[in-house]
Amino acid sequence: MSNPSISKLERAALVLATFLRDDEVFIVGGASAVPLAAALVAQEFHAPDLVLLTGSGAVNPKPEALPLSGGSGELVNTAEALIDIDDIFDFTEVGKIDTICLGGIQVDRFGNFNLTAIGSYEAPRLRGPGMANVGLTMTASRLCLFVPHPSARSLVPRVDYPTGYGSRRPDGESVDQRSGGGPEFLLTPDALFEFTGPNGEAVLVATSEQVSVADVASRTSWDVSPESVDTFPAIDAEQLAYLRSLDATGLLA
Amino acid sequence: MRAGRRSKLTAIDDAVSVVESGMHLAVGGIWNENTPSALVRALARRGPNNLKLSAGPASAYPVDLLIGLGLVDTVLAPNVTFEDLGLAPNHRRAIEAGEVSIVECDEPSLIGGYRAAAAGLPGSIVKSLQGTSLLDRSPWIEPTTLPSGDEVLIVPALRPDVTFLHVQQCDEYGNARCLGTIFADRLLAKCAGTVVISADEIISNEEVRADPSRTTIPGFLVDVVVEAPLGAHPCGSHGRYERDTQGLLSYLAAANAGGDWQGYVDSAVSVSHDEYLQMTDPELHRE
Repeated sequence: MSNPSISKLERAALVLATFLRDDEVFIVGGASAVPLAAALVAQEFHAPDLVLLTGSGAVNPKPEALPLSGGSGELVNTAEALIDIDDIFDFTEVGKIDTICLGGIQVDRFGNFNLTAIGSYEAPRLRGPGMANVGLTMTASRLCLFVPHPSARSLVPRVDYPTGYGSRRPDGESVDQRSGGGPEFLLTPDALFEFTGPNGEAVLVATSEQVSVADVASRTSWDVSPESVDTFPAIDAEQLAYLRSLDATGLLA
Repeated sequence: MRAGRRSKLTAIDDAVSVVESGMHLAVGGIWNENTPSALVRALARRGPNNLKLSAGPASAYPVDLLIGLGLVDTVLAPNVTFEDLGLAPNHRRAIEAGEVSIVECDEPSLIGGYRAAAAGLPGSIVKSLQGTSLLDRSPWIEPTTLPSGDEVLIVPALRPDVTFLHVQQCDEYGNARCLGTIFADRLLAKCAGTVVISADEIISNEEVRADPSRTTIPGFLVDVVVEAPLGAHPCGSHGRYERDTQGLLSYLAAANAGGDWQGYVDSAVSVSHDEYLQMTDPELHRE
């Protein structure tokens, strides 16, 4: 039975959790409350052997409350091990980090994402955080894209700058020299896209029960006209209660 | 006559004199945790400029502050963000206006550069970045073919002249204990010419020896030790104090367009660390 009061970010966390599996190494970065929450739900319910790694080097943290920052002491103090930057370097190169969840100021229909510059690269209207860990987008088996606030400005036809490449580059060319799997899906609180179009474009495969395909289309700048579309997996009340027990301050509310 | 060891303890305003204009300075910590904030403010009071500034792979307050004060010529920092609190305003504005140069890098390229310097090698081999857009903007990273025939990238060594770090505990000889995640800080100590470390608390060498497994950076890598209680503030210090979210929001309000930047500089940067401490939330001083 669905809880009508579930928030958009809570909904997204529960859907993202369903994609996380036992024995994969999943890394979450900064400002990543939703991916972190998804991992904790997955570990509690269906993937107890999922390995959660934070961008600060905490392995399998068990925070009592979702922290505001990816560097928070709450993640460090509750971890079972701490790894360092040399480990992250090695794991990036060798491909030992299986799964990464990234967002972007812009994401396009191929799953190219932009954390670097809006407008021209040389004289940007907005400079973003930078290049993050581009190497990881090439070596991770699974690249998950998450956009918390979908709109025609964030889900764009073509990113202004491709910090990381999607299924194809913005110009439609193939992405060479990638040892990992590339983008597997793009999730928003409303919609799930997979990159299964004829040229690797995003195809809408599922929506939240709270929205219509037309709603999703109105917040997406590329053509959204699926042949068929599923509904998100039903909300599990026990999982939602657990998620909320981690979120007393309402980061996801 | 027997000899005694040399104490590296130095007053904060003297410690930062190792940084001269035009040098490459690296700052440790991760996002807004374990940051050498007090050292950076002391450096700003001294005012060397045209710095080449780099950081760990994720950074925020120290990088944004030094850029905002106009002391930075070139920046290498692949992920500058206040995360849930927003983008880094000075960093963002300076790049948009073309006031600082960027050496574009990501995590493997930055770390590869530091690793090479730590080992005294001219560069590191990196492969993960092959075929990425980063290479279009990073002429400093060079493709090459090894004698084996392998096609690789070479990231040249990045050797900071000076690294600033903050830890929770340290003895007077520089044996440092990070009580949280060391992350890039030991590497930043190994790769730099001179290492200045601030500590929330100075502990005795006997206390260090009682549990050497807790020493995360050995003293022989450290040149200068500074006692700086709350030295990471407004950022957090793992195991000691959480970030001061209100303090960071005050900083961001001042740094954002239309904010009272000069007011922040006058009240928080131009004052001594002791005066700064008197303005912080007394709750933070509680052990």
